[in-house]
Amino acid sequence: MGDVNRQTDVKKNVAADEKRVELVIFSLLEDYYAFIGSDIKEILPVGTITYVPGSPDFILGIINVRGDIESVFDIHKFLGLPDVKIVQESRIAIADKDDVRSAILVDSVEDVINVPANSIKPPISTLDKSIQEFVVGETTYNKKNVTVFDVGKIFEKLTGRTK
Amino acid sequence: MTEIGNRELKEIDLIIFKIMGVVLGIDIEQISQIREPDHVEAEDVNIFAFHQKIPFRENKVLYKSPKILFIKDEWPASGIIIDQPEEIISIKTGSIQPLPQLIKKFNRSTPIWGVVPRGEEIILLIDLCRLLKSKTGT
Repeated sequence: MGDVNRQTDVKKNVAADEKRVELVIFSLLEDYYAFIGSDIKEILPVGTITYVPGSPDFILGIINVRGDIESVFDIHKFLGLPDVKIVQESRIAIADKDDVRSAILVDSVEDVINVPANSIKPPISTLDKSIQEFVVGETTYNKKNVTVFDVGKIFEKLTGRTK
Repeated sequence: MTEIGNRELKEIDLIIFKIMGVVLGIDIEQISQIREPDHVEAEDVNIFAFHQKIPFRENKVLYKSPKILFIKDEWPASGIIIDQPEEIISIKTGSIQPLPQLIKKFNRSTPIWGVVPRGEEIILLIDLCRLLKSKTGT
C-alpha cells in the first residue's frame, strides 16, 4: 500500500514538473517583461495606427488587421513609464482575455519560450507599486529578470470590469 | 432575402475629409449645404470648429482650406468647420464596423458611430447631429 502511495506521489510530482507555460518575452525600455502566451493571439510589426480623436493618451488609436479593427494601447503610458518612439523593432501584440481584445504596443518582442510553470516565482515585494497589481510572477531569461504580466488584470483596470 | 443580406447591399454616401491626417466621413443625408466661411453671415447661425466638439491630441488643429458643413433640418442653422472635402464615396453598410470596445469605453459620448477599413486607411464615421450636440471645448 505504501508503494502505491509513493508511486502516486511520484506521478503527481512528474505531472507538476511537466506543467509548462508559454511566455512572450518583450522589452520596455531596458527591462524584460512577459505575457502568458495563451493570452497573445498574434504579434505584428507596427503598421499604420489611426488616431481616434477624443481618446485618452494611452490609447494610440486603431489598426486594421486583415479587415478587423483593433484598438492599440501604449503600455508605457498606461504603466507611467517614459515615452519611447516607435522604431523598427517595435511590435504590436494582439491580446485577448476574458472577452476583451486589444493590441498592445511594446518596444520589441525578444522571444517566445516554454518554461516549467514552477519556474515562475511570486513577484518580489519591492516591485514598483504602479505595476504590482498587474503582475503574476517573475522568471529569468538570458540571465535577466522578467516580470510576467496578467493581461486580464490590465484589461480589468482598463475596462473597470472585474471577473 | 435575409435581413443580413439586405444590410450588406444597402449603401450610404459619405463626404470624406481629413483633419490632422485623420480620415473622417459624414453621411451626406445629414448635410444641407457646404459653404465657404467667408460667405456665411455669423448672425443667426451656430458655427463650431470640428476640434471644438471632439478634441485632438495636438494643441493646434489646422484647417488648410476650411469649409462649413450645415446640418439638415436645424434651426437656428448649425454648422461645423471642416477641412476641404476630398471626395464622396459610396460604402456598403455591411462594411461598417463598430469602434473597438476599449475605445468606446473611454469615449462614451463620442460622435464616432463606426469605422470603415479602406486599404491602409480607416475612415471614422461621424454622426453630425451628435457632433453638434457634443459639449464644446476650447
